[in-house]
Formats: sequence, structure tokens, C-alpha cells
Amino acid sequence: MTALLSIENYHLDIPTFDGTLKVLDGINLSLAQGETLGIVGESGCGKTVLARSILGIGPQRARRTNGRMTFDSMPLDELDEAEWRRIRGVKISMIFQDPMTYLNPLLTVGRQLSDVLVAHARALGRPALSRQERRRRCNELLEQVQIRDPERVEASYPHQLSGGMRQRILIAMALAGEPKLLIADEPTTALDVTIQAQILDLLRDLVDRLGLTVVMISHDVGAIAAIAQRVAVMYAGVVVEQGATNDILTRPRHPYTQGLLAALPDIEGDHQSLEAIPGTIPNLIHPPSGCRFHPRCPRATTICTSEKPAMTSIGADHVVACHHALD
Amino acid sequence: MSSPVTTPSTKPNTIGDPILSATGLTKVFVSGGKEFRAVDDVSLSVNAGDVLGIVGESGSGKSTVARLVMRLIEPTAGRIMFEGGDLTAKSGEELRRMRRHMQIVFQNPHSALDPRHTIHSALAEPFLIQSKLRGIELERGIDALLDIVSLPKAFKYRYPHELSGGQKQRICIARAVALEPRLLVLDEPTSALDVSVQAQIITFLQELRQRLNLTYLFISHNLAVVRHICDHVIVMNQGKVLEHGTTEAVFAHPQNDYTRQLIDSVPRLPRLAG
Amino acid sequence: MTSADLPVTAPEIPSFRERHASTIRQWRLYAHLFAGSFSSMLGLALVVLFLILAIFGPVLAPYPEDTTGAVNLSQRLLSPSLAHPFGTDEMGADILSRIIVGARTSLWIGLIITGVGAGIGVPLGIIAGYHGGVTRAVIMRVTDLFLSVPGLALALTIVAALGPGITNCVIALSLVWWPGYVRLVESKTLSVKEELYVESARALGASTPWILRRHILPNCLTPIIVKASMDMGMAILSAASLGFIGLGAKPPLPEWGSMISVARTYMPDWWWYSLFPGLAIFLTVLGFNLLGDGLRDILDPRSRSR
Repeated sequence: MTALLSIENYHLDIPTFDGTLKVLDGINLSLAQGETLGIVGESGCGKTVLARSILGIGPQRARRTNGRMTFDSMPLDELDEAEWRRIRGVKISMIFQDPMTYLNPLLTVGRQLSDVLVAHARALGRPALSRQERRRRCNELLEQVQIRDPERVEASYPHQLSGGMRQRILIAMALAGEPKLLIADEPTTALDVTIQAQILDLLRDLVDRLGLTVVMISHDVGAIAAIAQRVAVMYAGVVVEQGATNDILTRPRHPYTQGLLAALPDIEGDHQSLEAIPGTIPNLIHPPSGCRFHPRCPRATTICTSEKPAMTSIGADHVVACHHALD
Repeated sequence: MSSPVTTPSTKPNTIGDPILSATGLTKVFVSGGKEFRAVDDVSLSVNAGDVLGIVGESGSGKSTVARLVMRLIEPTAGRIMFEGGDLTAKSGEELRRMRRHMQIVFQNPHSALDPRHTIHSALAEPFLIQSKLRGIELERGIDALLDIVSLPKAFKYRYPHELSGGQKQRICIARAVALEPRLLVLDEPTSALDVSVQAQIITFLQELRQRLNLTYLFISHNLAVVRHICDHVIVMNQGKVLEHGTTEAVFAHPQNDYTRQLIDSVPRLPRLAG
Repeated sequence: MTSADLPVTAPEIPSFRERHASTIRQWRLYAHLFAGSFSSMLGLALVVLFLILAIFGPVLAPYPEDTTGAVNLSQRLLSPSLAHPFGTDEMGADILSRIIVGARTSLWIGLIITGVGAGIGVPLGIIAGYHGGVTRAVIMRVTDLFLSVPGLALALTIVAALGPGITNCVIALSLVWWPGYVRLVESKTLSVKEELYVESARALGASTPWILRRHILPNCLTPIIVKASMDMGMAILSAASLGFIGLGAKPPLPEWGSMISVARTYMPDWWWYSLFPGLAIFLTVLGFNLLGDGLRDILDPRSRSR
């Protein structure tokens, strides 16, 4: 199985007035066609920067200092703007946390959706679709995201629709170019729980029906668990653990993953006390030496302060970067 | 600024008395000629020493209830009783003085602190407004607050934008408990925070309640958190109370369809081994 | 706090540098951003030059007596030379000296007009924005009334009524200057008062004057500073315009607008007479505008996260 997306030893810096933020520190990820990968981590861990870098829309001042990204055997780091236009939204699409920000409040949904179709046709150098064709395709896309009355929705302005509906429309736009890879950046975070459940159902359905490959970024372990086959856990710009979702959630091997799960209150009850991870996330201008988690880690020893732990395989498709992985 | 530091407390809190009760609370917002009933005939009561949770999705009116109870906005109808006194009847200076006994912590610590004020100035504010603490006494009061929320003294000289979300929320909590309130309204205090920080804040809030003998009105959309921290819970939807009861009862045997749907929507995680 | 909770030892006071590390860092960032922009630095340089001339004018002027009405008819209307780099006027006075000393007049005019304008406009704007209702309606309608009449035309009427002269000119311009500040501050207050930290202060029992002074005003300051900087230039220009039509300063007091007013009868043969005062006005107004632009860029909160 060849990887659709592979990220090797990816390092990213962002220079700021106070110094250089070492935002990503040697990321290794690979994703096969049809796979769903969840990237989970807390704010500031670099998951969003990573996701945006895949699409070439990372922070403007960001500098790649090492490593590479390959998509469909294309080196993403060496593409120019024209080549990017043929990939962005076409082969790789992205959906975001707050759909309202990405919709134009002054245009109807139908108009915006058909604009996307026109832009794709132009980027790929294909003949423009006729009015009827665009209309048909818009309806098709909206039906794909389980909108039952596409005609009414197309005539609506974004503010006339609910948050869940807007997210569906954003997903429809993302699907317009028939992408191979969909990046979902916190797609359910801004939504109510009941709507969250519907959007997660929809994403799962799209993966099954269209064979879509999905990278889902979230701080919500529950949302990741609901859809991802594999999970990568990020902390302070490093992937600390990666493996099958069930393995990671039931038998976490990295102390950070373990701490993150123990910090989650459980809806099923048991008034057990929550275990908080002591301390705060590190400053990435001067990240901790060795393992970046060591100042907060209950298992840290001297080796953790001096040596960066390598990714080691500890089971079928389960890797962890820790000197003292849990059993 | 006229009230002394040691006001004679109206009456001692004995566990079990309702410290706060509201009856028939209603808030109607009017915009563009259209009426919108954000809160519709809500009644609730919190016993001293208890934690009452209000859960609901966005638009349920739960945050409006928090603001009504605090008298930050005026109710259209209804009555709020706090420690036996009618809060709805108070206004002006009297209401201002009442505020020291009930405080609120907001959802978003990033905007609840004035970006132009240092932490020192943010923590001094409650004392300057409500007490006569000044000079060295004031400095001690501020240090004591930082102690209570377990933050280093050096934070006094920082600005809010230099602190993490969890640290900012601790400062907000410190401001709220500075005047030794008896009731703390917590309006989604952890929703803007990461899970590991959320756990820190929740654990801290539980411990603080014991230590300072506080009563909480805890507003949240996160059912797991509510289940974890609350004794009683009220479920709201579209401005109305759908269900209320002890947390155990509501979560184990929800009577209302909406409550059931809400509980079922929360993604479940596989159990940790061991 | 019960007394048992209080730490017994007196609080330690760290060094000035430690206490103000955040502020120092913020100012260094401002300086860094400001220095990175050529136009901002040019504006700053022009304004600093203007201020130096305004403060030390009489000391720097090569012929100080020429600025107080000395008449030297043998030297009249000389073209620029080493002795008189900007030439001389019809009274034989050195134009460079008169421009240098005129800077002080312009500075006073600018400071008073901007100061009075902001002094009236900012409080009115804050009150209108915070209170709303009838108070706001009254303040804003009066403001609209003033804004609907061209400021210079209104000032002209006032000066005509009071009689020409630099003082009346400043009074007139001050009276028409404040509405802009009301508009600006009112809209800013409307947004700041919705901020959570204002609600949080109210929940602590803060009184309205406390909230206005501690939270609303400091958070409205950025646009006020930017506007005030740009207004310095505009006020100087307006005063010069009144001077030009003969309603401003009376000779022999050197004032740039009045100088051009006299000089225009000597155009175009004695071009230097009107060119150099005109250049002085142009560069001063440009300087304050560029400075204001630069300040807006660095004070923009979006530059904060850098």
C-alpha cells in the first residue's frame, strides 16, 4: 500500500519579535488512500499549522527548516502558486471550525457553490460548465451532504441557515473538486452536541461512500474517536504517539496521552476525580530540551531532559516516542 | 467604596437553606419590532453549599439566566431571592453592595480581563471598588489571591495576553472570590479551555468550594463536566426548563426526550484498560 | 480575606526592570515595528524637526530681530543666497528666520485646537456611547448638526463675528473641531462597552464613572492618539488658511499662512517668498499625517501577537 500523503521529519519555524518559534519538530506521518487519521492535541501543539502546511496555507512567515511532504508522489514543498491552484480545493480540500467565516454573507449559497465549480474548471483548464450543468452539480453536492431540500438552501443566504447547515455547505464546497484528501480542522468544535453528532455521522458516511481520505484535526478526543481509524497525538510540535484509535484510547503508552485521557470527565458517571496534567504547555521559543513533555511528565528521568526520544514501534501499527513508555 | 471590609453577614449559611431562588424568571429581548423570549418562566433554587448545574445547547437561554440572576441584565418578569432578600427590588448603591456576596466567572477568560491592565491592577479592582484595603494591605490581599489560585507572585506584573488560557481563568476566579462571595455563578468556565486545563480548573473549583464554603451555579453545555461537578441539574431548551432533579437521576433516567437525545449525542470513548 | 489568610511578611517588590518587563517589551516591539517603516520614520523626523524649530526657534533663527518687525528696506526681496538661504521679504526680513519662528505659532495653534477639540469631544463621545438613550440622541444630533456645516466656513463666520486675530482664529477652530472626536469615540465606546471585561467590572459592583475611567477611556485611547496626531497637521493647515485670507495672525508676528497671503502679490517674480512658507506648511502637515499613519499601524492590536 503506497501512502497518499507522507510527511517525513518535517520541521517548521516561525520567526517572531521575541525569537523563533519551533512550531513543528520532526513530524512523521503517513496516510494511505481511504484511511481516516485523527490528529489530536491541545491548543498550541501545532496541529492546525501542520494541517494548513499540507495545503500550503500555513502562516506567512513560517519557514520549513527540514523534512518534506509528499502527496500522491508530488513534492508539496516545491510547488509554485500555479501548481498549488490545481491541487488546493481540487485534490486536497479543507473544512474549518467556523463555517460562517468562510462563507460570503452577501451571496446566496447556490451562487457561492457554483463559483467554486467555475474556479475549479478554470484551475484545471477544463471548459466551463453550462448553467444547467452547474445547477445539476450543485444539487448533487448538496444531496451528497444530506441536505434534503437543495433548491431552498441554494436560494438562502448563509445567515439564514443554522450552524450545522453551514458546515454541511462548507463540506459540499470541499467536495466540489472531487478531492482525494479532505482535511477537517475542528469541524465540530463550534457546534452543539446534537449537531456535532450529525456532522460526524455525515463525515463517516462520506468516507464509506466516496472512499475519501480524511485527516481530522481536533482537540476533542470524543469526536476523533467517532470517526478516525488511526490517531496521532501531538504535544508541543511533536507527534508523541500514533496507532489504531482503539489501541490508543484503551491502552495509551505515552504518559501525555494517558494524562490527556485521564483528564476527560466521563459522561457515563462515576464521580471519580479528574486527573489534571500539572504545569502548562511550554514556550516554543525555548522548548524543553530532550523530550518536550519532560517538565510535566510523572515518569521523567535524567535521560528525558537530554535526549529526544525516537519513535519506536511497540506493536502492530502502534508507535510511541518516549523513553519510559507505559506498559 | 463606602462598604467596610467586614460587613456583618446577614445570616450564617447552614447547609440546606436555599441561598438563591428565582421564580417565574422571564427575559424578552426586543429587536427590530420582534420579540424573542430568551428565558421563559424559569424557576430554580440553589441550596447553600450545593452545586446546581444548568445544561443546554446554544440558544437555550442558560447564559441569560446567569446574567439575570446576577442582575447584570434586568428581568422582564420574575423574582430573584438571595439570602432571604429580594434582589429584584434592589437598585443603585444597594445593589452595588450586594454584588460582593455573589460573583460571576465568565466563559471566555481571554476577553474577561482588560488587556490594558496588569494582573496586579485586575486583582486590585475588587478591593478598590468594594473595600477600604489600600497600600500594603492591598498588596497583601493581592498576594493572598494569587496564593489561593496557585499562581506565582511575579504574575502581578504581567499583562493578560502573556498568560495562558488556564492562567487567565484562574485570575478571573481570583477576582471573583476576592470579596468572599457566598455564591459563585460559573458561566461555562471551562469551555474555552483545553481538556487538561479544564481538568485543572474543575479540580481547583471543587477544592475551592470546600475551602471557602461556596455555593455554585454552574452553567455548561458540556454534559460530562456537569455530571462530574453538579449535585442537581436543570436542563434547558429554547428558554424553558425541561427537566430538573438530582444529577444522578437526570443522567441515569432522563424523563424528557430532548434530555435523552442530548445525553445520547455525546460521543463515547472506549474504556481505558486497567 | 480574613487576616489569617494574609501572608505575614511584607510583599517583596522586585526591581523596576522585572516589574515592567512586559511594558518594556511592548515598547521595544512598537519601536521595532515603527522603525521598520520608512514613511513612519520620515513622519517622525519631520515632526521632530518641527518641534525643535518650535521650541528653540528664536535661538536658531539667524536674524531674530527680523521676526519682531525690524525693517531693512535696503535688503528687500533679495533672492536666496548664502546670507539669506530662503531670501528676504518686502520689508527686508529674512524669510528663513520668520519661518523658523513661525513654527512656534503653528505648534501652539495645533496643540490648542486639537487639545480643546479632543477635550470637548472625547467626554461627550464616551457619555453618548455608554449611556445611549436620550443622552446619546441629543449629543449625536448636535454633533451631526456641526458636522453638516463645513468646519472652515463655520470658523470663518465665528472669526468674522469676533474680529480677525490669531486668538479668535484659534477659538473659532477649536469650537468647530470637536464633533469628529465625538463620532470616533462614540463608535469605539459602543464596541468597548460590550466587552466582557466591562461586564465583569459591573459584576464586581463598579460604578459608571469607575468603568468609564478605568476601562472605557484607556481602550478608546488608540484611535484618539492617531486622530490627534493627524489633526495637528489639519489644524495647522486650517489656521494657515484663515491666515491666508487675512483673518489670522497680524504682522509682524510671523505666521506661515499670513506670510503666503502677503507673498501671493509678489508672485511669480519673487517666487521664494511664497514657496518656502508653503513648503513649511506642506512638510509639517505631511509629517503629522505620516506619523499618525505609522502610529495606527503599530497600535493596531493585530500587531500585538508578533
